[in-house]
Amino acid sequence: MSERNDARMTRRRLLKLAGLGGAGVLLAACQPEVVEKVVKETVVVEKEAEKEVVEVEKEVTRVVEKEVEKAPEEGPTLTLWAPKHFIEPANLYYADSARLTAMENNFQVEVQFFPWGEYTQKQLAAIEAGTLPDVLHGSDVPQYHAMGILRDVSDTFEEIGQTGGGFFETMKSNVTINDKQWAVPFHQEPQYMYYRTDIFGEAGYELPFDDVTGDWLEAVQAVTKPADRVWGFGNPFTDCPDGNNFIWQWVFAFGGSVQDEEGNVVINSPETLEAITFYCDLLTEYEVMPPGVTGWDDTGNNKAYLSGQCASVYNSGSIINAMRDSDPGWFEDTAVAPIPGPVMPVCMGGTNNISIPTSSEHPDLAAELIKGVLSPERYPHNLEAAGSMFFPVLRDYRDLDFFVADRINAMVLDFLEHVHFMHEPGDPTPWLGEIGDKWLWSEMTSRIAVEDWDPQEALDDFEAQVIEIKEKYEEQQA
Amino acid sequence: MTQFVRSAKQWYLIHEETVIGYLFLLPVAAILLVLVGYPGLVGIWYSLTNKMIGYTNPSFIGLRNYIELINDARLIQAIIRSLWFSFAAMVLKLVFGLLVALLINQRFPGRWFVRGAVLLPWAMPSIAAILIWAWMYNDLFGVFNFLLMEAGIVNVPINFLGDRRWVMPSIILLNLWRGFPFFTINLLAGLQAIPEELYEAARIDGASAFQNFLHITLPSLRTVILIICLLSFIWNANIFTDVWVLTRGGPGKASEVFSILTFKLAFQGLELGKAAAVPVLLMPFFSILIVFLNKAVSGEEV
Repeated sequence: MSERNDARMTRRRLLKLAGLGGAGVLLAACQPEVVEKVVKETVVVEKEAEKEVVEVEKEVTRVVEKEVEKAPEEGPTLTLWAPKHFIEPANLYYADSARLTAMENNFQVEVQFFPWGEYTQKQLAAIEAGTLPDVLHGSDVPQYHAMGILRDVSDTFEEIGQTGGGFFETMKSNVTINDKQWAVPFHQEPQYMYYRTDIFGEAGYELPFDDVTGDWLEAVQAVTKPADRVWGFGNPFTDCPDGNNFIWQWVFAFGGSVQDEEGNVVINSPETLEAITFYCDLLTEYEVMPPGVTGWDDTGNNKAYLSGQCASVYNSGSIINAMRDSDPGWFEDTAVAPIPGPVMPVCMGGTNNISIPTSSEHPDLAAELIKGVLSPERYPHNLEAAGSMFFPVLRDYRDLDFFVADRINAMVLDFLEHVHFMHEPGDPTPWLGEIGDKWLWSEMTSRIAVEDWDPQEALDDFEAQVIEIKEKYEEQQA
Repeated sequence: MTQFVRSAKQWYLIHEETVIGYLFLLPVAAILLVLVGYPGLVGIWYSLTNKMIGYTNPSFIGLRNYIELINDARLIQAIIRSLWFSFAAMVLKLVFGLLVALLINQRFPGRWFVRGAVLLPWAMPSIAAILIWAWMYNDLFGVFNFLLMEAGIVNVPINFLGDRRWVMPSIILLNLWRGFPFFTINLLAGLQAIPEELYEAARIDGASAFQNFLHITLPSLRTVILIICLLSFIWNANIFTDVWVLTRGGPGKASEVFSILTFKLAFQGLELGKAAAVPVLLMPFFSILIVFLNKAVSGEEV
């Protein structure tokens, strides 16, 4: 054989190389599963106030699994879709509580989790294809109600409310349209400010802050030291939930709102202008945020806080949970609070609701399923399994030891009254959901901070888009 | 002049063969109709309506979606961005892929290992690869900034994915890394198909290595280069995953290519009608590229 032939890339050699490459990739792909298994086995949540470590229902999950396995396979099978949370015990227990409920009511349930990032697209595709599940956890209630795909669940809502001291008013208003309930709230997931009290303390500042334009600004400027790669505050300026949701709360804290009580668009106000200008100035003028915030994804603020590069951030309970597990020292030095707006303190009232699509062939069993996961026997476990991520929607459960005896949980309970929703002071409407889905808030601020738009020009454009969206929905509904 | 006269039986045989031939094609035609034809037609229909996801009564609105899109600077910018991204990435992959192909076409110890290693970026699951790159680009923790700062090249971290000037080059670099093995492996196959005699004849005539490359190697690789460049251009013009995972089109709209815009229109704005109009609008352009590609594959002059 000549040298040329020897050097030739034969089919066999190509296949061999591809096989070797594939084997390497497979080997690498196996890694996360091992890590996941370890995490599942070692999940513990620290109850800070009592300085004791409590196993979070690890055994309960296994017992439930055994019971469900023993149950005879009878009755229809319902499908339940739910978002996959970062906290695996919460997912596990939620699935088990659904399966146990199904077993008690002589039907089967298939619980399917989807990552948050693609959950909305999954739902929208299913809506178009007519393949929604029997029970849908995590839906856009005003939007889906306008589409006519949700069942009236007022009776189920009422029945569950009676078992837990009634739903909080804010939770009720979020699922109520035309005096009927179209979903049942499952948990609150408020978002709030995190502060490193040690860093602020060293600089001579003590919490709570009164006003972001006053003592807060002074404090975050004082702790910002770019040479040491430490900044006073950090939030993504990109199209992601934290980048988007933070801004409307910031606007609320300055006295602005999207709509008035009658549903008129009132976003283009001096208050909003002041809020967005000041927010962008934090990055461009005061330079209290890392320059990289314009490229952060949704985890950017978590990483910056947990690595000590931002002394304050805005987030849900996910950072608390991460600190409890891996940074107990920093957990001690952390405090949480609403945004100290010049007009009012604000934190976001994130909620997760469970609804029954009109396409479900088993609405009665679906209602039983919802009642089961929110029953007094299972709901507290569902809350506790999520660490500090889930807060109750029913009044009685805020007195659980898990909340009142824990330093951070108790702080959050204290300011749950400052929870706001984007539709306030008006009613929930479908067009407001699209403002969030289109990331218009973060688009507006990144135009100012990244693309050098004039704030008023960016606000005018934002308002024009909001009005266009509103008109689009009015046209559809007409 | 020879006159061919076919009997009735012969005509029947020819006809029968033709019928059987068409019958064999039927499954493929059916699959194409169902999987390509139907969605394509529905897409064109939706593009002529105000169809919104979840709302069941779309109205026919003629060319309104197209007129709005053509008058929308955002779409024009997204198309221009897609095209220059595709072109830049294609050229870079060609240059880099060719260099690597020429290198691994030489005989040296460990050549087979290198040939295998070259394939890895292409074989790696795309999401995993993109997330690793996103991490490497990170301004606070990324290895690129760490190395640049350690080497004293920059004093402050470069905001690769959050700075309008850097974001597209950063995406192109990732695309180059992921895509050059495809160029390399095809060019390597092309290189190995060039008869050694051509080089020997050139050597006898006193041609330099550069002259060999210019007058033998490049012309011999012409068809391969054409095919892989066209394929790369078409793939990259439709790129979604890399951009979505890295930047979602940001910062601002700095990396919003047309596929990202389409996705946002459909799934964030629920405007399925308008979203469908974007690819339909670009269909003629891609059709021309595909015609060129088919001609190149079949060896016709393009």
